[in-house]
Amino acid sequence: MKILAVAGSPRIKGNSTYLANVALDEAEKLGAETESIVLSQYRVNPCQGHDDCGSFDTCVQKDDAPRILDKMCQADGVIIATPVYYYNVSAQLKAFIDRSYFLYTHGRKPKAKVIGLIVVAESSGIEDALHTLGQYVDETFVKKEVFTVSGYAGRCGDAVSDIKLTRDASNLGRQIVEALR
Amino acid sequence: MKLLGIVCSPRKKGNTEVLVKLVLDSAQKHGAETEIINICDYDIAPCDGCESCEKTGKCKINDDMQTIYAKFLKSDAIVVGSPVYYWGVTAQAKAMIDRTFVFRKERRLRNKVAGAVVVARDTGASAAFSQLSDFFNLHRMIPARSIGPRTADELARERGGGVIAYADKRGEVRGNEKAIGEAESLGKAIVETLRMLQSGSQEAR
Repeated sequence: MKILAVAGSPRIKGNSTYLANVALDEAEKLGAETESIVLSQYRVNPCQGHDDCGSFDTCVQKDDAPRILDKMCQADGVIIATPVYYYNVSAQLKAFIDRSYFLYTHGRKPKAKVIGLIVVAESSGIEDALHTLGQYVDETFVKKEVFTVSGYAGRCGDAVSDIKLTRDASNLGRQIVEALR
Repeated sequence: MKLLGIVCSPRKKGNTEVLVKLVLDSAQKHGAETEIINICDYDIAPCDGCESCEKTGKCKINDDMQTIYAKFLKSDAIVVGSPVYYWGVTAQAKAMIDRTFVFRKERRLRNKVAGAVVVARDTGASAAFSQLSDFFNLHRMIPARSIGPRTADELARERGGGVIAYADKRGEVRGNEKAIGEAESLGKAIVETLRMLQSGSQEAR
């Protein structure tokens, strides 16, 4: 059982990334094989909007996005985590979402049937970010169960001392493993 | 009266560009000086969340966003246009929006007049439109409003603060009378809002 987390924070130790790792740690304890990809550590350019995207065998852009999309297609469970920037997902995650259009134009569906969403805001915008992610999941994945963790954390690292959020994230990891069994 | 139009599509000559140009042409006709830029001509990295701008008032990422910062600051009004990708503005637009965090603390875009242009194939237009409206509001910008007299027909032709259009094929929006009407109304409304603010701010002093 493979669970992949795609983290949209620019920070390696940001709150949403931390919570994704907590979820993965719990999943690993329960026997899952896990991997975390923090998008800001890779090169994922925005989609260039080619009219004829569907006619290409591989994405025209030679960056890290196709490889990460492949990994996402092969995982049994996928966690998507993002901080809220301007009432929505980060630009890093939006670039990855837009690049998933290649899967759409090629009729490819990731095999993951269980999805976890993690959204952390400073003070507002969780609903809008979850709307974007919910629509993205609906469009991109096949049969699925979706679990969500969201909350507020102002400064980098605040989630670490937030017992409830940390427990929610740990539960998310467990819920994903149980749903996959 | 300077109006900056920012096209956030990865495509040149796409529907978003067509509509932003129409907004600018209309504003120019009513007395504004205009400039249009295509974000795909600029290299803009996403915000890296370092928060150093909160202390320095400057962004330490040395890329083309620095040029766009200067354009933002010298404009009196800004129109942001984006196609809808996955129920939101494009990643290109989002990168630019996130990078304006540098202006937030001192509200350096405050009272600039704003307009939103959104083009969707079928869904997501309202979510993307809200995204841009929230962006303007966060910076305390002022959405363009038709101030002067309008006939009922003219009022029916305006969106209020922006343009929403549906189009699939490149350039298709050229035949969309509703979208064209909204774009022309927006251009005029931007100029009127600017004029009102100019006279109002003199009185406020």
